[in-house]
Amino acid sequence: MTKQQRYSRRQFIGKSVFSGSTALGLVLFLSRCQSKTTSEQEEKKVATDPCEDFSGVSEADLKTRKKLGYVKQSSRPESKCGNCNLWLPPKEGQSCGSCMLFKGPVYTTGYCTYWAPQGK
Amino acid sequence: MKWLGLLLLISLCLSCSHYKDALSPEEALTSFKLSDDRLAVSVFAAEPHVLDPVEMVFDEDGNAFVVEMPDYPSKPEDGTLGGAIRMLIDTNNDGRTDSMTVFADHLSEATSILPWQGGLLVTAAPNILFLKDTTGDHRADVKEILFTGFFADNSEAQITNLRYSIDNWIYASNTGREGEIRFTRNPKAAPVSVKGGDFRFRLDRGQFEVESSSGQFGLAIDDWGNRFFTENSLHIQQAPIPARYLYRHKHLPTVEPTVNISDHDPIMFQKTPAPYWRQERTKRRNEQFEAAKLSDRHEYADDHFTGASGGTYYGGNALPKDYYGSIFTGEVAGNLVHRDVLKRSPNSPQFIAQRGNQEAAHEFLASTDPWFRPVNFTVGPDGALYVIDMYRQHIETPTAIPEDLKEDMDFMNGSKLGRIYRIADKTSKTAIGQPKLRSKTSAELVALLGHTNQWWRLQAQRLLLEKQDKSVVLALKDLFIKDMDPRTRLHAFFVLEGLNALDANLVKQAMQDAQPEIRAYGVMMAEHFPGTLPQLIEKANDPSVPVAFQAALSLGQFPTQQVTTALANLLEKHGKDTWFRTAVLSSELGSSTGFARHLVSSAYFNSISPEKDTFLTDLAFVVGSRNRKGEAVQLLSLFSNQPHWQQIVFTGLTNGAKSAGVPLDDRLKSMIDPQVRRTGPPGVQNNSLPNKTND
Repeated sequence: MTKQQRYSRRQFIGKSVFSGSTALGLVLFLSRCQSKTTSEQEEKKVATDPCEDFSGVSEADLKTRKKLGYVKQSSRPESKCGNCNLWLPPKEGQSCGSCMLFKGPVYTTGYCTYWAPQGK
Repeated sequence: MKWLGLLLLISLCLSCSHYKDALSPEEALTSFKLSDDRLAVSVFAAEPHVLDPVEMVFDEDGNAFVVEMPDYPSKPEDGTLGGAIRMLIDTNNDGRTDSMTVFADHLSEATSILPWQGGLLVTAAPNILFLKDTTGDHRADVKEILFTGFFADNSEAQITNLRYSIDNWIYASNTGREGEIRFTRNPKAAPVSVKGGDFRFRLDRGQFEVESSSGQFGLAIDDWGNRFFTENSLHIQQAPIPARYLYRHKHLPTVEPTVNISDHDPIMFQKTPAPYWRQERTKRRNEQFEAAKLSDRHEYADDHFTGASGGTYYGGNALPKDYYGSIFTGEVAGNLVHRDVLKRSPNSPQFIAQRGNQEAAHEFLASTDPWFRPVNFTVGPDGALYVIDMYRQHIETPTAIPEDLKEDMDFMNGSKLGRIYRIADKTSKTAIGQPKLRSKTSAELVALLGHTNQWWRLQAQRLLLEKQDKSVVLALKDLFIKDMDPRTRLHAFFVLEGLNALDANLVKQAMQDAQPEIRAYGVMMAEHFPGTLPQLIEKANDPSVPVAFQAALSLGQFPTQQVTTALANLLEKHGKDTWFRTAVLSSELGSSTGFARHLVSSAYFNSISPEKDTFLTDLAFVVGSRNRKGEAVQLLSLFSNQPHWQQIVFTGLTNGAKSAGVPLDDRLKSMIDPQVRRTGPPGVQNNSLPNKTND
């Protein structure tokens, strides 16, 4: 975005805010947008598998997950997230667990290159 | 006064630091404690001649090439690549590197090299490269991508560990990562999936395939071609059944092809206290386990294997004889070198890795210097064990450490350092001159197949394979038949194989050899000579477990009823071992209803035992998964009025059909005993391998 564009936008918002009718229209517009967005999000949330829901996970954490080679289905049946020492099982009412190395949901059947046997 | 204040400030800062500073190579030597007074450690190379080394090999002329990985743990953001391969030079022949040339640079995460046809094969994910100098300036001017498609998103778990084995195949570790591998010299060849496995290839024949195992950094191959691999907290593993057998049909229940063979896991004995960040991280993790009420979970900050790396077979002659056959493994987090002594299991193809007699409570080598990072090893033409020390202050991946603990950690601290040490008997010579094998005649190379140091034997074998000089065939046959050393006989056998000079008579001869491992290879090669089938069938009764096991695998390559009795006898004699059962089941014949019928008629099912339950459950699983018309009914009908076996069969069939997503034959329910029908299929009980993979 150029300086000129930023200036023009600021001018537009400034003028609009000081116009009562425009301000009311903006609020209504925003509230409708907000309502629509929330509704879409809720629908999406219902449709999404909780173990695939990364809505609360940052790009950096997703990058970490990839860097550590996480896959949701281990190709080695005896080495999977569910029996890894870094695995935390699902909390009550949740369907997937988590990993101490990165944020976000983790499949029990998953695997990453940091797999370590559970220390007893 | 100002100076005093500054000095005080510096002192305070130093005392506050959580981490020690680097030592010079000579100081580092004094930090080593060897378990054996007969041995000595010396510096072979150090900075500035070598930086961040992760592997070293000696080519056939005795030149030392080192792979450097200065970009670890992350590539520079500006896109530059620091990976390099250097040739180390000892100009005054005093046993220490004093010069070097850069063979290749700007490499992306190269991790291993192998001499080949005057150049080097290089693993640099997603590729395996061939680099060669054709102008004599010791700098690669040929760069060919041979294989491509390997996983390339984690520098600790990528294609690595190139090893030339006695069977003329080149093996590499892939950590089980997914990949569709293409061979650029043969673009028409179908890509090979390496998911869940490792990789092997033959450039002399254009072959490449997945191999069963999933090693990380470290691959040791013994004199007989047995492979042992390293993976972080599991320092030594084995995969007894090669992939070409394990996956020859797609319907086996899930099989984990690898097994941890250490009898002393997970304990190691380090001399360095865990660093601050690890102690703190471990404390936090254990608090998380407690908060989650995971009472059976605990993490240890030290004295437990966590960074095992570079497992290497020692077949050299510069350590005392009792070290021959050991596997040396580095522990980069524990700053130590661990040694395993291998023993064969009496009733299984599995090995057992034990501590040496002198190492019950301490390690082969342990350092008090926390910078010592023994990532890898090699054995030189002089027979010495070379320790590749990356020499870094920190070697853990930063993403595995909480942000606040990383604040005073510099992960690149030491990236301009690197050491390679030589360990040998105090009486051994530090230099033996250059081997210069490339200039040897074929006859001279044949003679070197009897060398006491495995390095010479393997180099000679490889060069003979490369030369394809058939004038030595007679000499090789003579060596194979007459030499007193079984290792030499086996090298001669596989040079003949590499020259396409094996024949049925030699294979029969191998099956009668006094050395079990050679008999086993004779059995394996008999697969290519159908006329040797009668001798192969006899080998099912061989008193040696490895020979009988190879027979169990190889007999399954023959789709003829002739082998049924031999397979049944193998099952009767060795069926308690899971690998033998899997070997039988991996073949079409060994998992057929015809084979089950034979077992019924030979009274195998007249007694009940856990291994028989498991075998029949798994056989029924295969039949259920395979879903051939009428086969499930045929199988169940073999067990009329035998509720126990009916239940076993019904369970296996049900699970197999479910796994393959196919319907179960409706007639089965009406066939089974009312008692079994009442209880219904008992889920996955008796089935040790409940799910199917590798489809």
